[in-house]
Amino acid sequence: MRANCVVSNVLLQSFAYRSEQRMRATKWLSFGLLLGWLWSPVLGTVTAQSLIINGYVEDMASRERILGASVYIPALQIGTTTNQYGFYSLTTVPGSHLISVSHVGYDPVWIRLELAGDTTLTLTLAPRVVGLDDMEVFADQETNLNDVQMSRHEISIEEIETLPVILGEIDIQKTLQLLPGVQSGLEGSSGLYVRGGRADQNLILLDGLPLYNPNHLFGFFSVFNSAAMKRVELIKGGFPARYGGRLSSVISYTMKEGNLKCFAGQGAIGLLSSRAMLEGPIVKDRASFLVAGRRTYIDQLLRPFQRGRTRYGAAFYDLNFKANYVISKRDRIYLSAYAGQDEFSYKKRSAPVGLSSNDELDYELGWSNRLASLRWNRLIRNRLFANVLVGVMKYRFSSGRYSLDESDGVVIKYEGSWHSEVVDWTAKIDFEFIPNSRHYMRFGAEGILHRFDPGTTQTRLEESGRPPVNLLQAPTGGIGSQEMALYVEDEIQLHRDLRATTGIRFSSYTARGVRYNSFEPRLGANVRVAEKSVIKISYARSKQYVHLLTGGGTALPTDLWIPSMDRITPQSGHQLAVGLINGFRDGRYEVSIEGYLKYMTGHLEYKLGADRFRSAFLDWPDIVEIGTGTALGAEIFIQKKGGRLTGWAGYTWSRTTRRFESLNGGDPFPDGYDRRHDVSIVTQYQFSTTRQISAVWVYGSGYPVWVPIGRFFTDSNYLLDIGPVNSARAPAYHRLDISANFTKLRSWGERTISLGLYNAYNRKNPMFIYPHNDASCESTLCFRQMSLLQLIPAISWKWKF
Amino acid sequence: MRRWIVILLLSAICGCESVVDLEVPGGYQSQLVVESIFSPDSLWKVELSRSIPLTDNTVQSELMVSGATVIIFRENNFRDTLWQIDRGVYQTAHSHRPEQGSVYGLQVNVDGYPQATASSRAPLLQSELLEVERLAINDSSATEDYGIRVRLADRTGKNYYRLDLFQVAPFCRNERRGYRTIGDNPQYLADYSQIAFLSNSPSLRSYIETVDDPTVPDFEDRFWSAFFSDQLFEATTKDFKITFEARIFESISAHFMLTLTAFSDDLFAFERSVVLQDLFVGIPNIIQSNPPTVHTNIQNGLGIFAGHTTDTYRFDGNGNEWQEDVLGIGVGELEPCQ
Repeated sequence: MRANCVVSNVLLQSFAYRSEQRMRATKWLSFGLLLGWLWSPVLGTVTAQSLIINGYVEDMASRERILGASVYIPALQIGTTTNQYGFYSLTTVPGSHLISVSHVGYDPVWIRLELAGDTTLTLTLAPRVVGLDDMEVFADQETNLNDVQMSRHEISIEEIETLPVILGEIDIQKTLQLLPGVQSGLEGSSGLYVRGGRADQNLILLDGLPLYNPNHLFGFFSVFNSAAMKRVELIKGGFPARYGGRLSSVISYTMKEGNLKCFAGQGAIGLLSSRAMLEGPIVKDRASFLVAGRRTYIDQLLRPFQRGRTRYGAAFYDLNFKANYVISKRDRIYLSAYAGQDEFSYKKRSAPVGLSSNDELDYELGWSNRLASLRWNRLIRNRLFANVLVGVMKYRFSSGRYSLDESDGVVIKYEGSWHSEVVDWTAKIDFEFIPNSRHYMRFGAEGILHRFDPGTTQTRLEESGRPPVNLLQAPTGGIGSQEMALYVEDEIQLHRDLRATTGIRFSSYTARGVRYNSFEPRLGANVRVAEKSVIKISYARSKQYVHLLTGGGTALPTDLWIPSMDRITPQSGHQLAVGLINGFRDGRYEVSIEGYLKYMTGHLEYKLGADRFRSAFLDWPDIVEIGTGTALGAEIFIQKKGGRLTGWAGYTWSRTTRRFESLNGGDPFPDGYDRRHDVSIVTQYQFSTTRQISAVWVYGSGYPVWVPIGRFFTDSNYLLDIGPVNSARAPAYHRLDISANFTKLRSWGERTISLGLYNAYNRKNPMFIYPHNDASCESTLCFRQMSLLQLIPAISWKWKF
Repeated sequence: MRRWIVILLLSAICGCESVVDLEVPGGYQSQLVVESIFSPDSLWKVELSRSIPLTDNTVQSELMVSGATVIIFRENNFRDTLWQIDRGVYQTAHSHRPEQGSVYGLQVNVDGYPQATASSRAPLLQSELLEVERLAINDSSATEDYGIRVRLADRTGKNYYRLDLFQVAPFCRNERRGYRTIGDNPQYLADYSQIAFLSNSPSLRSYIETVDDPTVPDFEDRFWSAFFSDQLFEATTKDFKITFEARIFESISAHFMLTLTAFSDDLFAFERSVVLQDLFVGIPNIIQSNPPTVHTNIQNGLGIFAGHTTDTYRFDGNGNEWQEDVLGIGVGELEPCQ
């Protein structure tokens, strides 16, 4: 509800173009049709009887483009959904058609159109004023049944904002962890481990550009401010050919565009941080902006505990900015930017002893993400849509130590720093071409210039009366690499009950004079076996040319990103997935069962005994070893989409193993995040339009732990027989979170108070496990578990206008 | 008010420790544990024991393995069969000592365990004490400053070394505390006391686990034991300058011992892994982190069979060599401290 907005009562705003040149679009096929023979029958099916209806679906109040909206002609049983830019295109026949347009959170509309030729039409949807009796969702309930893409989830930001969270901090990534096939890693972490993949194998896109470290506060919060986000999409398998560069998932975040009609905003004050967002027109209906910011005040909260001349603190902030300009009815440009920073510091100033001593000691650690992109959407012809994007991303981690010792007039100053940096320059162009009702083609190209500076070290010593000495300086310097990809894919209606996607991605990568080329086929099919039942199947091969070197499986900001190079081969993955989706009761319930099988190569690990600090001084291939991984799993997802009670339940059975020549005697061993059983139950109940409660219960069987299983003596040393890798299991993890939201409508907008409990029954879940020998052990040595994040209350105050 | 909020927050977030039963795969298979660290200065000696499940509280003496056949090979040829001299302790009956550079093999056969084998060598070591110099006498602290220079001829390949410095000191028995301590009385027994030293060499490290870590500042205040690799002087001759401060005793004149040890690869890896594992126990560790495994070169067993070579230099305050028996080191019972 945007009280300041004057909502037009025009349900449909359309502007149509009669195109006499639709056949000309085919000439654009000359670009990108690397496998043109495969699609040659496509072109022949364009007939004089077919016509195109296309355009955008927009929010009526803000003119924000709506992604994933359903456009459907029931009589012909044909439909489509808007793409990630809000664009839709349907091929139909001339005549009078009743068209349904719908999307979650909006009132559906039905319009009748007399179509005689190609038509470009902007469709608008009005945000739904939620009432108790009209909480049903219409045609888009069947989106998942109609979609060829499998293993895909989309959760609305509105839904995410009502779920219980730690300390009232809304976190989109933590909500994604509640989906089947997704593991969270450590408790409280925003990490995502998808279908046996690793943290570095997620292609996390923010407005089309990849982010390397999406975490704040060592992973306790993600960098995505929900106030600035419009949509998040997770794809776990059957990746379309337009995505590449990572093995395990695609997580695409789209920022809001900015309200073209009026000023609007929202904000929240929580226990650890506050956030605010403002959007509005720069030129009404022509240009708009959005700016959002978030900052934590943990450093301020810690101040009462700081004594004497010692100071320590932790803080993060992030800023989102987006602007867009409607050049014409066919052209629109977007400027997106993000900046986020984490800082940890410790400063100690010793009290002077007499006049002869004055010591200073500073430790600093931090990381930052910077991202900027410029995007241009153009509807070139009625059957051809294009998106051009150029952008740059920079991720940097750094730590430093500074000390100053003064004694008897002699001053010794030491400065040491260690940093790791990745810079990506990206340019890509994507086309969408709809030759007829049977085909929806996409093709394009992408190029990335990578620059890696992993583990650069510098130390400097200054002593009174002596020249400064640069003690260490990493000799490796940066590593540049180039990545290029071409892709083409087609979604084909082969039969009334059979739709398929075929695609291929060709990628080429060069670093240090070594080139890797790869063809990555992508296949998928959707077979309707009953009116509300479909079977989906997919196969995807993926290549990944960047690696995250972790010190034992847990991704931390201190880990190093390194590129593929000579003797460090790219990561490669094959995934086969099969699923059955069934809709019940007019689509209000949906059940999906999916099974997957993955095989991955090119996993990197430090060799046993290798030290990451040495890495910058040595040749990378000498300190890492390369292994393989397999993942097998089954997922059940039951979703209730309508009514007072909504939510989902997910269950995952999975088995993930790794194999390295020098680990575990060369035998496969469970991955650190191999979890056999994983359950998530998410429910939301709407008492009224202003009162709502949510509850989340999660259960996960124990993660593997690599522990000693025996002991022995040599001389007087008491030693441990470590045993097979990850042979033990930590205790199971489970917790219940609940929250309640109370909204009040005000003259200026609305405000919501959220109350929540994290880990409501105070379960002591394992965070750290380590061997210990003290009086508490019944035997010589026992295991201790450290639990964090027990019962935590939360309160936050949100406002929106 | 703010403080209460903070206390509430921290109490919710702060850690809680508890002892847990882990689901560890059962059926632990006991392994033969071999320990034999040899050098040209030692007789052949091997200790055999067995490993036990983690929760087994059997004491060390009960773990020794008797009745084994222990054979030493030299360059793949039979050299010696060791005799059992104590429970689980096997020693040569022929005064056989390892020789520098030769490859020795070990074969152990005992009922209930598969045959255990290993091989190693006492590495070649070529060093020389070049110079001993008394630098200063500090009357106020009753100490003397010395400087010495040691030359090391490094062999080809990656090698690891250790330097230790000792001063001969008079020891007595502290009755109240129950351990020996340094006094200054002619009646007291002379023995070695490890002392610290300084060096300007960028190779030296105080801890074995940081020998290869270039980010450790290559200057240290003092070394007790100094570990180093040949990374900065591969296959060349290297001189080390060492300075140290020695106590002045009225009962014993200045006598010192410097030891330079060359590790075999397996011995260095073993020693390093033992230290790393010691650091691991008792320190909270993220679940997915890798625990350090103790290095072993025993096929079908645990433990170590590895050699080292140590050059020992005994010198007095004037740089003259001396013999242990002159001072009666380690002979007799400690006198109570007065």
